Formats: sequence, structure tokens, C-alpha cells
Amino acid sequence: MTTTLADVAAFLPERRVPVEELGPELGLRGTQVRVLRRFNGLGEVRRQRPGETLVDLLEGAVRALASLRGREHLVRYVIHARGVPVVVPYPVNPVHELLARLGLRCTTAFTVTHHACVSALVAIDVAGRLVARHPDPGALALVVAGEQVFTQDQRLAPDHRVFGEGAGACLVSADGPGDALLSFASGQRGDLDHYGTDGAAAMEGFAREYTELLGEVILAAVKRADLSLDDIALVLPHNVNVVSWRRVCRRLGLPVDRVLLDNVPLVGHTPSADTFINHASAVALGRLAPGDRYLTAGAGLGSVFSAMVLEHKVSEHTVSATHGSGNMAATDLRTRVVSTLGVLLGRMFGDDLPAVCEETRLFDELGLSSSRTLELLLALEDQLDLQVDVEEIDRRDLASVGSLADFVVAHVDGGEPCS
Amino acid sequence: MFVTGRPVTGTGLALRRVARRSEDTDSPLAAHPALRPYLADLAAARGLALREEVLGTGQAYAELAATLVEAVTSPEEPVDLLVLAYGVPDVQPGRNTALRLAEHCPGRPLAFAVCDQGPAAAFTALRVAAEFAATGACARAVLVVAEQAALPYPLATPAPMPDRHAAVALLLETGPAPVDVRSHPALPPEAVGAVLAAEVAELVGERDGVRLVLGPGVDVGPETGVGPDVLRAAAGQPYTGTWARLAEGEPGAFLVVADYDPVLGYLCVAGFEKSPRPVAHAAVG
Repeated sequence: MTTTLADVAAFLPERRVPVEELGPELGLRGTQVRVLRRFNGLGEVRRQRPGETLVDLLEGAVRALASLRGREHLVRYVIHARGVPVVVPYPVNPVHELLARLGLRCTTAFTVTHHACVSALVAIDVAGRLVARHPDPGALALVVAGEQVFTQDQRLAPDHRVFGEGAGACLVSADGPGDALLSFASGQRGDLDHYGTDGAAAMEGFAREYTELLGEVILAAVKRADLSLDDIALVLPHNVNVVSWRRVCRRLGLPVDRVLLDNVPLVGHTPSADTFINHASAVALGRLAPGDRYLTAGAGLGSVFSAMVLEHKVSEHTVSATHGSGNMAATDLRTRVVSTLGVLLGRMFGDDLPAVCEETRLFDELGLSSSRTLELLLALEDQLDLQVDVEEIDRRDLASVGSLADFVVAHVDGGEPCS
Repeated sequence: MFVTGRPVTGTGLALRRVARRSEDTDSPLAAHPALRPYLADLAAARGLALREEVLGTGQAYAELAATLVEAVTSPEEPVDLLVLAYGVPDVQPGRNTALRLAEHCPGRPLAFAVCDQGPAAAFTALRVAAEFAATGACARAVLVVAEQAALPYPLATPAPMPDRHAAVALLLETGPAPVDVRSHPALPPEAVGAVLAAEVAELVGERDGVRLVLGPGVDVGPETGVGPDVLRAAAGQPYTGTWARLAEGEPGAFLVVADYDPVLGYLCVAGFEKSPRPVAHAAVG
């Protein structure tokens, strides 16, 4: 038996909102917004117009499934894959409202959730098993993903991600034509539960272990598909940010140009719909050819890390993206960086600042978060009138004044800085 | 870590253990200050105001069901799958509770939740577990059904609400026969009796020792013709009451569970065997 994605589609609202406009809504300071754009590679997100509903969003994706027309009677299940468990007041029921809109009266509909932003992957796996043994061999399951950004959960610091609105849909069948599902891996860490009694520690643990755990499920899915990373033509990521994917790539030895990051600055992170949005883009950009094995992966707070390997059976073309980086070393620059960091930390902390030296640990001693450390780096760029290539920045580079200075010296962009 | 490939031919599932719990106290997590703005935005989107007298009360499914998951599992029997089914939202609406419950399970199971289907969600969770077993991805599964009685905004449309916070956990393990779950969406109330009778008759066949459990949405019974061993769920527990009845007395060799949801129109009927190994059940808390 093979689970296949008979058709995949995505839908994005037309309204574009730059991250700078979201700053006040999210309670972000100007420098934090700059961090989102400069370090995390985020640019703008899509949002619905006032008055539009979640069902409008989901319906947009379903209507884009060209192969659904004329086969509605074969849809036995409609599954809403949702990242946020509760998005409407009980008993409002978006997936059944969608059913009514689509005229699918005799279809079983429900929501699969608690897999955060990778809920679509487990929903696809569930859908595949439901149709695998269905008495009607032509039975289809329709998986829809997408949700509105209707509130700002105060426990989710918006310093590394910005949620946009978008939706995706796919038709799942058993042994039919379409992309074949080769493997699925999901690692779950319910102990990293940011809604538990020690939510701050859970958030910190999630950030600390993120790269390792996401890398593990990617490798597990690739291995289960009897492939190696070299066989993976393309990775469809969750669009959380660019920096975290560069770290994962570095950990795995995976060229970053095999990860479709094009949508991060254009769409941002849509809870649970990124896989479908990126699939649609990959096909449109000609980055998936027939026979290509590709992987989609992501993670979510709470915490879950999932990866799925598929084989593309429909479109053609392939192109590659490139990225550039520059570096230079300047021995006297390091001295200036260290002393400037001391000045900037003094501005941040005032009289509370203990004595600062190269060994001063930014997280442990000064209590800086990673986002505040990035703000420090931005201020350093402004102060010394230089630009730092942050593609390869790692949490270890941010550990101390000295390690940050080493990183800056090794990754200054575009030649000798102005003096 | 849960890792799977293409679906293969697997096994059936049988009921091994059941545990149930009801609770009248509220979780301290219901008073978290971040809940107010979240719930206010949630309710306001539909023109509803918060019920101040309810805000700060309610139960968290993770804490409500954790002891049940521990009661139906044992360290030497790893679990592959945990499915949480609910209708009324958790008092922590953003929490991935199924993942938290999996921490109380041996075997680090794949865990997720099924909802937005009224009382039929529990039947869908059972069907999903059955299909995971039948396609080779699961030898042992935990099904959790939970409901809590506090809703901090008014109901926009009529819907069932429980009298008490309650949860039920079922352990299912490899058995000779598949769990047979039949779902009839959009069934009008006047058709329920006849369809139920036909489904029960087909599921039971020539079997003896059948126990029929009817949910609060089903007001028919004798015409199903399955003998005297019929248990009816309490009306005050619309989501867990049906499954809690499985924890009472010595179950029959074959169990048929049915419920009807007049709101969404689902009639669900499930037939499954009890495990040949000793079946245990417990009331916890």
C-alpha cells in the first residue's frame, strides 16, 4: 500500500502586511522588528481582510484543488489539520461549516491537532491510513490546513517568528496517482510544555534542543525511506525563520540551497499550512521534477518535531537557488568590537552592569535572551558602521563577549569597515 | 520517536483496560493570567462576552487524565499511539495536551488529538487507532476521552455541556479482530433507530456474551434486539459517559458502543472484542 497526495494546493490572502506594521500589534520595539527582518529573514505576512473568516481561508485552498472537481462524491473524510487547538468558541465548528460550503453532506469531518505547526504531517499520515483500508478503493481524504491570527498568546514571545495567514489543502488517496508518501517521523517532547507549571524553562529547553531534535527526525525519516540526505532533492520547511534552518542545515551537512526558503520573507509562518504553501511554490518554481524525493519538516512548541519524505510524480523542471556570504578578518577590529560591546552593554544595563570582559557570559551572567543579544549585535553594526553576515550565527557564538567578537570579526561583510 | 513507512498489513485491536475519573475541583492552571486576553479575543470574534463568574474555573485535560493513562499502562508494555478526543475545549486552549499525556505513557507513543466532531470524535479516535493497528503502525494504543464543565463565554448555539469534569482512558492492544467503527454522518433523528438496529445486528452476528453501551444521544434500545445486557450512559456526561460505562462490571466478550449526536447528525457504532488477557478497569481519584 502507498499513501499518495493526489493533489496539493495553497491559498494566500491578498493583503500584505510588512513586519514593521506588525510591531505595535505584537508589542515589539523597533530594534526587535529589525531583528525579525535582519536576522530571521522575515519581511511581510499575508492577512485576511476584516470580516473574512477561517472557513473563507480554508475554502480558498480547497477551491484551488483542480482535481477535486467532479470527484467530490469520493471524499469520505475531511480533516482540518490545525496548529492551535482552539481557534473558535465552542461549539462553533469550522470544519463542518466548510463541509456545508463544499456541499459534502455525507462525509465524516473532524480536526487533528496538538501537533502545533506540523499538524498537517500527522493529519496526512492519519488520512492515508483511513483510506488505505476503505472499502471503496477510490476513496479520498481531504486534508485542509490553515488558521487565522486572531490573538497574540502572551506566552509565545514573537521574537523569532511572525504568524501570517494562509491555507493549504491536499487530496489523499491509497495507491492512486500523485506524490508517494515514503516515510514519516515524529519526535515529541511533552516535557517541553510551555503551558505547564514551568513554561519559561520549557521555552528555553525548546530553543536549546531545537536544532538537534529537528535534525534527528529529518535523518530518521530519510533513513526509513531507505535514502540518504544526498537523495533529497528539496526540503519544504516550516517558514519559522531563515536562521534556524541554516543551523539545521549546518548540523546535517545539508546544503541550504536545498531548502525552499523563498517564502519566509514573503509569507512568514502560517500555522500548519507551510508544507502546502511551499509545495505549491516548489511546483510553480519548477523545483520539483518527476521522481524527485523531497522532504517536508518542521517543529512546534509543546513540543513536536516531524519530517515526511515523499516522491514527486507530477511536475517537471528543476532550478537551484544560490546564496552568498562574505567574510574578512581584521585583527584591530576585534579590539574595537570588544570595547564597543562594553559600551553598548553599559547603555543597556546602566549601573546594574557588572564588570565586563571577554569572558563575560551574555546569557548566564547578564541574563540576556538570544533576541536581546541579536539586538546588541544590531547596535554594534550601527555603532561601527559595518554589516555582519549572520547566516552562520549559532547560539554558541552568542555565548560571551569574546565569542561574539570572534564571530563579528570572522563574518564582517563587504571589506574593511569605515573608521 | 515514531517512525513509519508505507502502510502494511497489521493486526486487530482488543480492549485491555479501562479507567475513568470525574472531578469537581478546578485546576489552578485555569487562573493563568494569559487566558483572559486569549479567551476575550476568541469570544469577541463571534460577538460574545466573557462570563466573569466562570473565568478562572475549569479543568486541564493533561492533569485530569494523567493518572488514568498511568492506570491503564504498565512500564513493560510500550504504547505506540495515544489519541485524545474531546468536544468541550480544554481550560488551556493553546496547550498540546496529547503530547503532555504521552509523557505518562511507556514507549513514547505518537500522540495527537481529535476534536470538532462532537461525541463522534471519540469514535473517530477509536477508528484511527484501529487503522494504525491494521496498517502495521501500532500494537498498543491508549484512547483518552475528556470533558470539562466550565465554558467562560455563553454558548452561541445549543451544544452539550457536561455536569462534571471527567475523563476516561482505554488501553487497546493487538487482538485477532479489527475494531469495527461505523459512522453515519448527517443522519436525521427519525432514522437513528432503524440504522442503529441494522448496524448492531450486523456487528453482533451470531455472537453470545455481547454488551451494548448506548450513549446519551440514543433514546432507542430494545428494538436493537441484542438481549438484556444494555448499559445506558448518564445524560450529564455527553462526551465521556458512554466510555465510562465500559469500566463498570465484567464486560462481555464483545462490546458494541453507540451514540448519536443530534447537533452534527453523526450516528456512530463501534464493535470490538475484549482482550483474551485479563481485562481490568478502575475508577481513579
